[in-house]
Amino acid sequence: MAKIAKLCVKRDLCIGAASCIAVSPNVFALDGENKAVMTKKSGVSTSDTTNVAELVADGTSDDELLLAAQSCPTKAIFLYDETGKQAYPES
Amino acid sequence: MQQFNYLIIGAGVAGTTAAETLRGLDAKASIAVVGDEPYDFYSRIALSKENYMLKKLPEEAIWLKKPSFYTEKNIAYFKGRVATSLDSKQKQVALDNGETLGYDKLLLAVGGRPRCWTLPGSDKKGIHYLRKLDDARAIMADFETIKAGLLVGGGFISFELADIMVKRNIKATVMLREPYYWANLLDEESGRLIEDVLKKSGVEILYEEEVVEVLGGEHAESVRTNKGRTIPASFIAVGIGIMDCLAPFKPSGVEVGRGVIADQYLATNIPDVWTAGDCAEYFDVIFGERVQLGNWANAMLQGRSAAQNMFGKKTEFKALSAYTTTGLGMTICFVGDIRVTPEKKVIERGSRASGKYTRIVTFEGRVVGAMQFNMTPELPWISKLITDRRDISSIAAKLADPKEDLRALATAVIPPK
Repeated sequence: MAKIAKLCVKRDLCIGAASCIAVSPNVFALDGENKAVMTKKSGVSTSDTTNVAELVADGTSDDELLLAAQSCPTKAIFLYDETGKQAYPES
Repeated sequence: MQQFNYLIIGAGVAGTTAAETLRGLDAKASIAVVGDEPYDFYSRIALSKENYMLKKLPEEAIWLKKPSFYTEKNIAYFKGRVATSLDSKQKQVALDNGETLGYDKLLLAVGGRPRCWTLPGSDKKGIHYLRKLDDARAIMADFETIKAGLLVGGGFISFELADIMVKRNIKATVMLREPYYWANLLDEESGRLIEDVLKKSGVEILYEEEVVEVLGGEHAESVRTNKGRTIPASFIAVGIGIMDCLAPFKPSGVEVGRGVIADQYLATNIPDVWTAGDCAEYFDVIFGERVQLGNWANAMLQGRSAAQNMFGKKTEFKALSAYTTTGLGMTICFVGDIRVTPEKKVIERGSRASGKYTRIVTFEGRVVGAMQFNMTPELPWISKLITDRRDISSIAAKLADPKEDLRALATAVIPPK
């Protein structure tokens, strides 16, 4: 798989199962609506498309990000490579 | 007899993840999965959620693999088949259709099954359990016509179904054997907090009451209780616990307690037999004791770890998973070891009155688990405190104050990586 550059959480799909937090607690958290968000260096937490470089945990491996996405029981986590192509879920 | 390098009993998230992981590690091995439902892999956890039950998403959204998955990955899928016995000396598993499958390495990932009623009338139509896709479809079909329903038991199943029923304008009544909600697991304050949101939404709760007989013709019409009352009920959903599916495997000599006993590598006492998921009672390296969990992340990650170990790696299973649900405006999360035994202490963070409440369970000055109500944004930090096993005595008093930022408190005792 190509290098993961961006990721997002589709909030309408997320059920707050928190499996992403079990895999990657440095990247993911749940917000007040029990939806998964990513924590950015700026202090902002968001579900919207975020550059990996903007994450607090910007050194997180692609393997960990992929496992977090694969662990989601509703496929709510989307990963994109440097060209913007969707890397997961496989379309 | 068909022979496989890897045979996986159970086609849920643990078994399916194991099969896919093994295929990733070994392109040539023969791999088979046996599943007792007539379906491809789906998201069991989604069945009780509103996206599915209120049809906010098309039903197709629950399928997590394309229909071509099994053939593309060259995985033999024995769909709708039940394993009926294991011969661990001959290394064979018998199926309910008379077939026998031989294996080099075996994974038991058979999950659990709902505890079912055996009381008089319990075979009547209208009585539901919720575990499998067909169960969920039957409940949804009844929701199209019923005006009221009885939910038996206090736990995830009745909480989630109450949420769906309220949203569908179906009058829900919860019947508890215990004096308050979820009393087998929670303290009274937490149980009452859940009751607060149920009652606010119009859900009626009956305490210390049990069904002794279901009355009616072919279909349930009412229930008779231990208090001598007869309560009309044509829809009854029973969520009174989970039982094991291990009877076919016990005679083989595989060690079984509440689940299949395994070490930190998810290996059982029988050579070449591993276990994963809800049925695994494994040695947890974070807690230093044997535990059994029944949540999605645990099952998924164990399926992956077991597969790696079956392939020949020797990697400990280490993960901290949580149970979460949302309904009626409340989020509930259980993480880690939340059994409050006499040797453990509880730090209360927040209050029932404020609607935000966490009970942090500690043992010997370390956080071992937490029950969160409307406080899940703090889950990553609670999780870090648990997995890092740091002494929290210097922050214990502040942990009890919800105005204190948990991230800052946790950072004070957990060194950055």
